[in-house]
Order: sequence, then C-alpha cells, then structure tokens
Amino acid sequence: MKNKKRLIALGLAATMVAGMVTACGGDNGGSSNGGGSSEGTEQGSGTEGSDGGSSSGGGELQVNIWDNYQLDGLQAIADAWTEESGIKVNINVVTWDSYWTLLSSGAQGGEMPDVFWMHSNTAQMYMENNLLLNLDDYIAKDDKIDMANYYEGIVNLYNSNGSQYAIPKDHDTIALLYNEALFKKYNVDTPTDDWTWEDVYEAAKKITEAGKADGVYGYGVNVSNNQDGWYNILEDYGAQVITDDHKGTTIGSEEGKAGMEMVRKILTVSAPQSVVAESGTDSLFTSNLLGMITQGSWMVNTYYTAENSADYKWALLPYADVNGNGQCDEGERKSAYNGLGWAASANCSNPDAAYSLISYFCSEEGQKKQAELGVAMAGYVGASDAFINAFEGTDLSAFTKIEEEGTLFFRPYTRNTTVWEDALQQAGGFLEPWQNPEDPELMSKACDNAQTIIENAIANE
Amino acid sequence: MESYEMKQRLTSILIHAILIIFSIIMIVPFAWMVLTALKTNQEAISVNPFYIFPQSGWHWENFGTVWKNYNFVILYKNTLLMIFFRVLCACLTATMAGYAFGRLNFPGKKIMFSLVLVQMMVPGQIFIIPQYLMISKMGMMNTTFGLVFPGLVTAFGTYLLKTGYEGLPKDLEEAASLDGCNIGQRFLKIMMPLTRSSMVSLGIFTAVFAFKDLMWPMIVCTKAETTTLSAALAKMQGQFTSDYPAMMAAAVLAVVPMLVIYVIFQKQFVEGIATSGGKL
Amino acid sequence: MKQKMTLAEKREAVWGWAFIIPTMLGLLILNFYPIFDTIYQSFFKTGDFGLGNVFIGLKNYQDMLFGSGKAELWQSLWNTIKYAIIEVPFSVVISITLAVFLNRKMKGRSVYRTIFFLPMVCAPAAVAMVWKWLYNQQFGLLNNVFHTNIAWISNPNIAWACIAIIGVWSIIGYNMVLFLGGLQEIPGDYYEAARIDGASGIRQFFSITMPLLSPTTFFIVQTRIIGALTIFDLMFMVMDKTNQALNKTQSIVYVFYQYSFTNGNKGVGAAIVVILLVFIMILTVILQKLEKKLVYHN
Repeated sequence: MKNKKRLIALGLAATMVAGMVTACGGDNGGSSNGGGSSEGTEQGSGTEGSDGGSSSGGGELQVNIWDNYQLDGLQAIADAWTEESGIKVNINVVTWDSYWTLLSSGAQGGEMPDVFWMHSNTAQMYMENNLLLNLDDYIAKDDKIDMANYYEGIVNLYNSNGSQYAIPKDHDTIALLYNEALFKKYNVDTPTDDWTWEDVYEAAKKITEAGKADGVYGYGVNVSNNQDGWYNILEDYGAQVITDDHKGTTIGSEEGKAGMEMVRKILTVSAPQSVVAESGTDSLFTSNLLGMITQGSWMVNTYYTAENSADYKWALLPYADVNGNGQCDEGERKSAYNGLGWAASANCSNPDAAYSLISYFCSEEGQKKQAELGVAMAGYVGASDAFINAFEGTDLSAFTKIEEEGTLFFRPYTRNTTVWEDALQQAGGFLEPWQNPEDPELMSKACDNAQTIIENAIANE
Repeated sequence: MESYEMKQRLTSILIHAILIIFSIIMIVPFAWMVLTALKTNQEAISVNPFYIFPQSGWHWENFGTVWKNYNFVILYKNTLLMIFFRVLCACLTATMAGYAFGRLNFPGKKIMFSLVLVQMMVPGQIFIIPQYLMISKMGMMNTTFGLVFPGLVTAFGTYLLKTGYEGLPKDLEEAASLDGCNIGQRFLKIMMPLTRSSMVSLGIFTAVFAFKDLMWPMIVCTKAETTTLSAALAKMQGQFTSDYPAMMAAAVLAVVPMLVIYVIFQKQFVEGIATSGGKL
Repeated sequence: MKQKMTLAEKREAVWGWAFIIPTMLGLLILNFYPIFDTIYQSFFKTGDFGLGNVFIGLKNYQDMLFGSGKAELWQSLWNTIKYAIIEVPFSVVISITLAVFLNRKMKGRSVYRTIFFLPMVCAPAAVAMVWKWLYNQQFGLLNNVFHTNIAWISNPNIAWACIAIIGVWSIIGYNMVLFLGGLQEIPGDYYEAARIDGASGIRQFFSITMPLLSPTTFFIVQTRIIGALTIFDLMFMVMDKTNQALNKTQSIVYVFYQYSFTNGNKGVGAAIVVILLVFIMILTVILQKLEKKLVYHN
C-alpha cells in the first residue's frame, strides 16, 4: 500500500544518507589506512614523521598556490621530486581571495597545507604567530641552499628574529611597455635607456594630443597600479611609501609631494581615471589605445600572446633627474620588486619531506626549470636568464637591466598591508587627485592624507 | 464571436511580443558566454564594443582544451552527487518542518519559526569558516558529505513549504482524521503530495544554488578528484589575469546538465499539474 | 489560567516537534552556532588568527554607528535600502506578469520557461562580465548603441540604480518559478466561472489571481527583501575597488566583507552583521504583523 511504499522510500533515503557519509567523493587521503595510501605509492627514502590525522596521511604532501597558470609547470617540477622521494605531491589552486581565508582558518584549527606560498602582505603575521616551519636547521644541513644566493630583500622578508621561515621562490621587476606602432604613427621618438619621467611626460603629451580623434592616449595608469606604477616614481624622488623599518612613511614629505607632483603631471596627459577604472590598463593597451604603461615581469606572457605583440616593446624603467645634472645617479632610478616564498606549515606531519620539496623548488636547478617555463624570474640570483630567453622574439632585457643600472626596493609592506593599501586607492586617499589631475592642490593634500592613513593603519596593527 | 476571437489573437500577439523582448534580455549573457568561449583571450578582454562575434574565426578548440585539461566526467559526477543529496535533504527536512509550521500547533512554534527566519537574515559568509572547521575536525574534507554539509537543512525551504502547506484547504485534514488517519499518515498520504509544485520549486532552487556554490567546494575539496564544476571553473581566475575563453567554455559545458535537470523536472511535474486543471 | 492540553493537542505537539527537530537541529549546529559566535566576536578587537582577542565591549558598535565608521556604515545601509527599493518591486511585478503569461496554454511555453531560467544557471563570472561590458562608459554597448556618454556604473548618482537593474534581471527567473508554482495551485474552475460571467482577463487577474496568489507573493516579497538587503556579489564583481561610485553603491554586506575578510578585522565585521540583523529583524516583524491583513487565507 502507499504507506508502505513511502516508508520504504524514506528508509532508502536514510541508507543513502548513511552511505553518503561513509562514501568517498574521491581519494580520502588514506588517513585511515596508516602506511600506504590508496594509490600504493612507495614510501621510498622520504622519512616518515608522525602519521595520523593531518592533511597528508601516508605518502603525500598537500601544496597550496593561488595561480592557475603556474600549476602545470610546478606540478612537473614536483613530479620530478616525487620520482626521487617517492612522496606524491598534490598541488591545489585556490583563488587569491579565498587563499588567505583558507590559510588563516587552517591555522585556527582546520587543516593547513603542508607547503604553500607566502606573500609580503601577510608574511610577518604568520611568522610572528609561529605558524611557519623554522627552516634554519634544514638550511644549515643543506648544501644546495645557501641564503646568500637569493635576493636580499626577499630573504629578509621571510626572516623573523634571525630565523628563516621561507625560501625565495621568484622575484619580479618593473619595466616600461610601449606600443611601437603608435609611436611611429604619431611620429614620436621611442623610449631609450636615458629617458626621464619628464621625457615620458613629453611623449605622452604628444601622443595624447595627436591621437585625440582616435581615442588614443599616450599613457595610462590606475590608482591600483602601485607596485608597477606610481610607487616607483615616488621613490625616485627620494620618498618612501613605507620606511625601511616598516613602521612609518615619508609619503607626505617634501620629496613625497615632489614625486606625486610628477605623477600628477603625467596623469594630465594620460587616459582619464574614469576610462581606466572601468576598462583596465591592460585591456586598453592590448586594444592599442595606450602608448605606454609600466608593468611587471609577471605580465609578460599576457602581452606576448596578444594579437599585436610584435608592436609591443619593453624599455628600461625611466628615472627622475632630481638633481638636474642630466644623468642618472644613484637612487634616481628605482624599481619595486617582490618575491613569493615557499613556506611549510609549522605543524605539518612530515616536515622533512616538506623541506625537501621546498629545497627542490628553490635549488638552482629547480629555479632554472621554473624560469624556463617563462612564468616568473627566479628568486635565485642569476637564474633568470632562462626566463629572458623563454619568449622568442621579445627583448626582455629591461627587466634585468634595471637591477644593474638602477636600485631595487622591496614592495612596501607592513604587518597588515591591505588595510592601508586599499584605503590609498579609494576616496579619501588618492582617488580624488587621480580623477582631477589638473589640480595640484588635491594631490598635495592627498599626500598628507596618505601619510595619516598609513600611520593610523600601522598604529592599529 | 469575431471580435472576441480578434481580441484573443491580439492579446496573444501582444503577450508573445513581450515574452520575446524579455527572452532576448534574458538570453544575452548566455549568448555572451558561448561567444566568448569561441574567442581568443585577447578578443575576450578587448574593449571594442562591437567585438560581439569572434574576430579570428570560431575557436572551437577552447572547448577541446578545457575538456582535456579538466576531467569533466569526474567533475560532473561530483557535482551531481552533491546536488542530488542536497536536494534530497532539503526536500525531506523542509517538507516535514514546513508541514509542522504550516498545519500543526505546538508550544514554541512561533519562536522556532522566527529562528528559521533569522537564519536568512545574516550574510552567508559568516557560516563558511565555522562550517569548514567542523568538517575538518570530523575528517570529512574531500567527501560528498562535506560538500552537502551546509545544505543538510534549509531555512528557506522550510519557509517555502510552510507557505505551500498553509495554502491547502483546511477541511482536508478534518476529513482525513475522520477516516482514522493519525497525523503522520495525514502528512504522508494527503498533505505532502499536494505540495508537489512547491517541492519541485525547492528542488530546482537547491540544485541551482548548489551548482553555483563555488566558495564552499573550493574550501572543502583540496583534491582535483573530488572538486565540483564551479570550483574548478573559479580556479581559472588568476591573480592578475583570467583565461576568459577557457572559463566560458567550461561554464557552457557545465550548464548543460543543469538545463537537462530543469527540463526533466519541468516536464514531469509542473506541466503535469497544470494540465490536470483543478485538483480538488 | 493555563489550560491543560487535551490528549489530541499533546499528540499534535509531539508530532509537531518531531517534524521540526531535524531542521532545527541542523540550523542550530550549522547556523546558530556561527551566529552566536559572530555576536560574541563583535565585542572584541580581533587579534591575529583569533588569538589575543581583546574585549572592548560596545566599542565596535560605537565606532561604526556614531564614530569613525559612521559615514561608511550609514551610507552603505542607505545604498542597500535603495537597492532593495528597486529590486523587490520591479522584479516581483515583472515576474508575476511573465508567470501569468506563461501559465496559459500557448505555443512555445516550455521554450520561454527554459529561456527565462537561463540567467539562474549562468556562471556569476559570466554575468558580471556581460553587464560590465554593457555598462562601460567608453566602450560599452549601451553607450555605443544609444550614442550617449553616460557613466552607468561610475556615476555615484546612478550607479546604484544600474546595479539594481542587474539585480532585477538576475532574479526574475527565480521569482517566476515560484509564481508559476503558486499559480498552478489555483483551481481552473474559478477562471472558468469568471469567464462565463463575462469577466475580462484583467479583471480575473485582480479578483482571482492576486488574492489566491497572495501567500506566494507575500513569501517572495518577504524573502526577496531579506535577500536584497544582504546583497553582496553584484557590487563585488561588477564594481572595481577604484570605482569612484563605490562609496554610494557598496552594500552593507560589502563593507562587512572588507572589514572581516580583506582586512582581517573580524570584530568590526561582526558588529556590522549584528547591526544589519537587527535592522532586518525589525522589518520582518513589521511585515509578519501585516501578513494577516495582506494575505488571503482560505
């Protein structure tokens, strides 16, 4: 009868629920089967630490990254490591926004991945709270890794109280990207290594005026283009977004205001903020509506694969002739640089294996492999040539030249960088002068505001 | 009468016209998805307003690349499993609770129902981390149970079904109890079947929202073999650039099972009730 | 004097509780525990990773309601209300109309229904991309087709309305499914009788359809008000952080997200959630009290 049928149906449903609880949606990581995982990988020479209840039971390491583009390349390198160590590597991509949410909740009682990327925005917080594995002993015993081989700024970033918590994975620098075809069309000389920001201003002005009818602008920059944009100009003039001790700023100083005044000048001959905010400098550039933009080495691939990539050229980042002597002196040409680090969780179940993987990624060999894939320039000094050569037909020497002819400064960071970084990009920060570049007063006032915003944010950390 | 028929026809034409206009408005993003899937990435991000159609040929290979790079069979399986169990749980729990709130009297009913409403009044983001911590402690990461967890019960569904039950005629239950049914039998044999259209709606919504949910699957599934379609899609959004044609190709491939489910449900239940006219 | 329950009433109470236990238990564990945790957190200044939280009482509330955050909070609350004022009425009216049309026997009905359902299954990323493209001031389709130069989503005065239009558009299919369900439950005989009596289609609509549909309508209005007031995704995906209209468009949940997730300031974020919750609760109480008057019960 109908009643019975319903009961049977309900009973079936109940068993299904029970089944669902015990069923695997896939590999359960073998945490319930002690030694071997369900894939039957050999234990190999990798030492096994304590085994239960972590994200990697058996022979597997969990790695988290946020960039899908790097997945294939890194998995290839990791697989090579797996052949030596016998431990499987599972690389999981989590989008940028969720990456940090997941990592911090993992730290608060969930599962942290074994190995993951660290970033300057949050590195200090993680280190000070003892969430990262201390790598000192491992590095001392490891003859493949010597911290002196890496970019000092990055090494220092991931060093806290004298101990090293992450090894540099890559680094990036900034260069000037210009559209040769547009320069030719409007009869303007193309950038050279001796260009100052004044020269940029002049060229942009010519292109913007000549290109009005076509909707072409000589330059384009957004408030959010900080590392690849206005930070560099500001620092050329002698100010610092964040001082070396990471506890203050000189953005509101005379030098700071002079730097931002230069930015303002360039803005007057650039694409208006309203255009750039909605469309983005990259889209505008690849739609051949911008003469020049500044960009970082991480964007090389995007422009390389663009339709008109033959017209796109990378030039050395210009300098600011502050002392007016017509040549580039020490400190007048600066580029921001940043570097991610490979870190391990302090509580990971197999720290030896985790370190071994990190060491592999960061060894000279691993770094060269990474560079060959054309993803990023190496954190290992000198291993970036492969990157430069990875893109046939494009001259990327501007990215390494800046290191010789200019000074690198590390991307400004504090304990909780995003708070002030976002505030600077919005109303009350630099948004107003960006929208009204004609008014120098607005920019000057914004510098003062910025000074306060940053100081308040640091005080609250 | 002629004028009546003419009036009918005019009304019909007018209605069709309105429907067609709205259809175009509704279909634009889907058309956009399909067209973007056929472009190159540069065309996709180009700011030219009339780049509606792919400029350099129709790049069907985007679909091929996506299909090869992502194991769609596993993704479909994981997604469908999650949807199936979420719909099952939602319908079961919501119909029971909805009936109780809608037709029965018990002490504390008002308070309990207000609690149900309160659940809907807070932004869903506050649930994610506590639920994640629970799943992690239970060791249920990368399982179907983990995926279904947030959808085990549904406040929205409870409210929806309560409304459905309230709309049924009062005399039904009196008649049933005169026949000797207890409350449980009344519920199973008479009341529940009558809320079919509400259940179907709930099923459809649960399925759609489960399908679109990307933050939760991304957090709970750390392995490629266990993740769902939407989470896999979301990963194609890089920190600085996104591969739009690939994303859209994957999105189009992902929509197909949803539409199939919808069409099946539609035909079987909703249409069935409509043509049966009055049901009393 | 408390009346004792009869045996029948007791039995009903047992059944009632038995039926709601699974749902209430689930809500308790899945949702109320986080809600209480959030309320609790709102009284603290959050330390890193939940360690070292400092109890500061009502300070978060003071700051957001009357102090340094008040401009942001009240403006975003107002933005959210404006959004709801457009989304709810427009989407309800349009979807009722469409549902009524699609309830008749007509050619292509299934096709229409499927088409209207499509926005619901579109990837949110796709939806954001399309509308951003439509609304782009320089290169968007709208401005190019109508030869206007309107800053749809950059003009602080109208950006909120444009976002609300996206909201209306995306929720029509959803409302329509619910209305169709409700319409299906209206017996056809009523319409037959009315037609025989010579009532026009429109008359039938207002005298039969609207009253009998009122429970469904009330449900949709109630849930959409709550849904509109907790909107977040639209602003997050369509508006860039550097958009000058952001201040006059961001919803209150957007502000919450910035504080809690982007900046890690969970204490303030929690306070914002509680403020919103109280606001919605007040509205809901008012609406529930009006239910008896607005909804037609058999």
